[in-house]
Amino acid sequence: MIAGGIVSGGDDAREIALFTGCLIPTKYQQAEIAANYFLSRLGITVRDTDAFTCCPDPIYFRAGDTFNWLTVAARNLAVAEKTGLPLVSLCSGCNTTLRDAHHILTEDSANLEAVNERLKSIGYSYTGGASVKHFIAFSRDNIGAEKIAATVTRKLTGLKVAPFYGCHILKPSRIMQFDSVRFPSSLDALIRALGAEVLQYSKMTACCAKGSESEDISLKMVDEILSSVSEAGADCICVVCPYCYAAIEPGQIAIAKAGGKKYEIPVLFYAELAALAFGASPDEAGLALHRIKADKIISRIAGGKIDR
Amino acid sequence: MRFHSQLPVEENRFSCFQCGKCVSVCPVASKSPLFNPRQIVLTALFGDPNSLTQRDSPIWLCASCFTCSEYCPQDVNPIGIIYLLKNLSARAGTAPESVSRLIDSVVKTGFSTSVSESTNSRRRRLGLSDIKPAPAAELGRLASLSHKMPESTTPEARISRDESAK
Repeated sequence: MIAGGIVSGGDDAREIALFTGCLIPTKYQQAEIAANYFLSRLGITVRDTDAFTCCPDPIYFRAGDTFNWLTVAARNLAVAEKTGLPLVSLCSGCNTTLRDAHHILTEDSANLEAVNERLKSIGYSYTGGASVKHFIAFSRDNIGAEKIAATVTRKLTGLKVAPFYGCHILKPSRIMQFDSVRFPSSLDALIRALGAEVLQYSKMTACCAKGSESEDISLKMVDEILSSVSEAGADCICVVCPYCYAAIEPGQIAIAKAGGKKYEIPVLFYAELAALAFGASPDEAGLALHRIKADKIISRIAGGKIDR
Repeated sequence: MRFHSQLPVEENRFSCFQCGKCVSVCPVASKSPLFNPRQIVLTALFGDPNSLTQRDSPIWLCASCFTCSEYCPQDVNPIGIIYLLKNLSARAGTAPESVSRLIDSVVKTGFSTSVSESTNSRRRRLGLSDIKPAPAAELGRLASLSHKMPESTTPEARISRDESAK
């Protein structure tokens, strides 16, 4: 399949280049631990590559200087291209930078030439052959909900999950080529594959506003998201991006501290839910690393009888 | 400033008819009266764009969610205009400090977040491998190179080219 000019890594990729980004390896390791567990249970190995750097950041780094942003992104794309493997990103921000940069570089050869002129000085070049996929898109397209369901050994039956899509896995849609911007359903299907119940709520495609310079605006958005999730009666929120996570989990604590509502709704990455359904202990799934206790969702599944 | 000439016409910038769709879908506009993408497009195209690149400009409230451009019925791409203004502001030295801080961090450490020995000891405790040393020499070299951006369909790239031609 050709999506957004990007050659797919093949539907049966057994090996990938994993792009963990900045926030996950340095702050939210639960997403990395769980993704490693998830991939290993599905027999997918992660290739050791040259060091990736920050994607770089699609908001502030790009705002500072678009050409430098494009150049550093092209270095990461070149590192991935050398492996010949699909680059799988755990972060929607990295996904948007790398897909957008790939798009800009391949739609106009003058851009590619100018960037390669700079990359040459550090011994890299990019020919436009990287295949960039968000972890969720890779799970849907290259693994498939059926295979995920078949790997489940502990169904998350009874767990009510609110899928939160956020922005950069979806938009700009002509470049992300992921799902309907208004009514996406890919994450819903992957959550259902784990045996959990998926809730619909009004803010499932809202923006966490983490990219705004105003923290106040982000907290107002997060308050609305949480209110909508809590009204729907969710046991937890499932996110696909560490920035959404950073807005919604610590955001809840900030809202409560400022005298607002105490939601205390666990926020989990999809990989954590999947690892749990694949039989991981709560620690193996990364659940111990949350500020809003995530292990309380365990009381909802398997009669609450899961050993650490 | 030759702002208008820096906007590629093929991206339909001037077909904006001020319908306000961008405002109605903008999450930031729904929370703050200070941020209005319709107004920003109007000022950038037909007013004084310099007024939007001053210190504390409302452009920095934009969350870069791409929703305005997604729903714009005229394909005006308001976020492209905002990125362009942000680039100009950064170049003029009026961007928030968070911008240069983040860029410095990436160039020096490879990461936008802070990485220290305690990051790696925590990772080891969790059974994860150490973070690879950043290719700092490579990033430093890339950051020190001059701009030679070619003719391009991306608005920000056009800016880079115009600047280097000066």
